[in-house]
Amino acid sequence: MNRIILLAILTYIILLAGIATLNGDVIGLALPLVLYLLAGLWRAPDELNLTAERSMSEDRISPGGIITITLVLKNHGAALEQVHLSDPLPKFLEVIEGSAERLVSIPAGGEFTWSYTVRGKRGSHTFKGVHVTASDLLGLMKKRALLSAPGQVLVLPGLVRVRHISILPRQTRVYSGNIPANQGGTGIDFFGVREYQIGDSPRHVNWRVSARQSNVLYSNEYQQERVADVGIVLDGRHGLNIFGHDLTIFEDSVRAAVAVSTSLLAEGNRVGLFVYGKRSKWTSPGYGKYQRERIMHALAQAETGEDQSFKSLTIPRRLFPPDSLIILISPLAGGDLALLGALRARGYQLLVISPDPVSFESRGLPQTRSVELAQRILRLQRETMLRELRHVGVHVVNWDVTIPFEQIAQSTLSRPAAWMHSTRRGVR
Amino acid sequence: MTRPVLLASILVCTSLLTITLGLNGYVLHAIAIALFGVVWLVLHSVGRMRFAWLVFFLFSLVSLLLTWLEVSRWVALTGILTALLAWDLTAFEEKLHGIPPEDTRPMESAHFTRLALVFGVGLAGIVASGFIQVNITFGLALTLALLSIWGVSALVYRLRNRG
Repeated sequence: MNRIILLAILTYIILLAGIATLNGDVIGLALPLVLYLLAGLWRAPDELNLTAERSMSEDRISPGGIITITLVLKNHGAALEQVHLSDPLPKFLEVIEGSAERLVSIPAGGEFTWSYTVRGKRGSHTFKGVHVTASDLLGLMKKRALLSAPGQVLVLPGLVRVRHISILPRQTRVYSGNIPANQGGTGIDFFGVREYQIGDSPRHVNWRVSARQSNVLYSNEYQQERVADVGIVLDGRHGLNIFGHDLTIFEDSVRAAVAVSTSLLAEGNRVGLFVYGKRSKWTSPGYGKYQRERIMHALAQAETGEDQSFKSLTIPRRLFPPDSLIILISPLAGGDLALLGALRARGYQLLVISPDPVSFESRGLPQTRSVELAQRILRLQRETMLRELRHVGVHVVNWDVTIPFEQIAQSTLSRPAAWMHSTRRGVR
Repeated sequence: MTRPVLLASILVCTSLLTITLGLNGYVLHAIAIALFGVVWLVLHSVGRMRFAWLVFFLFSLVSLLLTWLEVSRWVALTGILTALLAWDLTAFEEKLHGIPPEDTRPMESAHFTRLALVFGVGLAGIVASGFIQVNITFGLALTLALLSIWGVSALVYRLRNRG
């Protein structure tokens, strides 16, 4: 109940009772209540004239990192004897030192500086403003305001280092890199033999072949090593990534995306990223450290979204021409087969890194007979789906997320898979 | 500091009103007041502070009743003051929730100073009224009472408009 109204009602009752009984002592009881109301009016806050400024020790941190937020409030109006300040924290940020709430007095023309330290989970965390409630000391009169003090903290995903991811796309770019191209030239691995051309190094002359021919010399050709176009698609469909009790496999997918993109960019490839989630967004392909920063930024902001199907997923041809390699990181659903088949039909090479949702979810469930049965059925369904994908020429890595991604990458992605060689032989 | 004073004010208010009512033959009323006091304490301990206004309202009415029945003026005055103190501190304690200790202490001392001022002036006024005796006509008394009601209404209107 409103405090002023309650006091007013009580005062009226006491005064009316005093008049009705013609008793001065009864009327006297109203005196403390009236004085209490007057005290509220005496030092009631005037119009709020405050400004707030926010500064942060860092604007981007790695997971587990801490950031100090400093707020400076300036009072351009009359003195405020009690001000409640509250800086609402974005979800997934927690205060580890200090407080995001204060109760202070600010003199006229004075300022108040306050700091606190937070840490948080991966994501882009936005601060909007400071809630201010000024009141008299007895809390009867209140004035509220929301002071604009915007700010953003980016908590980057954890860095996972994978030494080498071996890919053999059908098409490479003109720049030299680490990926064996489908062309002879300078390189390390033997590619073939061709007729000697002026300018060929004598060391490259294949004397054995040349000896069998009359008046013709032959030179060895080596496989050129180039860079490739790689598109990484991170699947952030809510239904596939989030399980009961807010368990999420999406963080594992993000870690895999970090590892894959970092490794491929380090080898000079042109890498782009598409996050299919809350805000589906392409990070256009690029090279080097700058592109790594862009991808890390996009991955920091990646959130799961409600879209349940891959229907709206299109690979822009101007960014990734057919024959490019597309790496899909997804727990996969049965309906995805059609889309992946269509991508293969359009000529894309596909590598699917699939965090296993069955083993992930079953870890959090009691091991009852029904759970085990359900687990077996789901595992069979998944195995069937993965087998069908392999049949259409998709390289699938089934990743049990209890095993670190580095280990999985080392055992399954560090050497080119047999299917890659067979595909390339077909092209030749 | 707020919490002990708040608990003490609830205990003093409840026990004072209960004992006074009990000694004057209002046993059932005394039991009811004691129960309300216990309910206030229990609700406060479980963090349900929303009903403090209701108990404050009831205790103030009981204080009014004691004055009207001419049982004891000072008990009634102490009852309404401690009930007001407990109700005020309930709201203040709620406001202090989540506030760091470095802010709590200065705010507590400022709040208690203001309360001491209000209660001191109120008590002084009531004590002074015991010594001053003026005989007035019923018409004048009615006019003064109506003026005081108008004054309280104007005060509340200003408070509501500025808040």
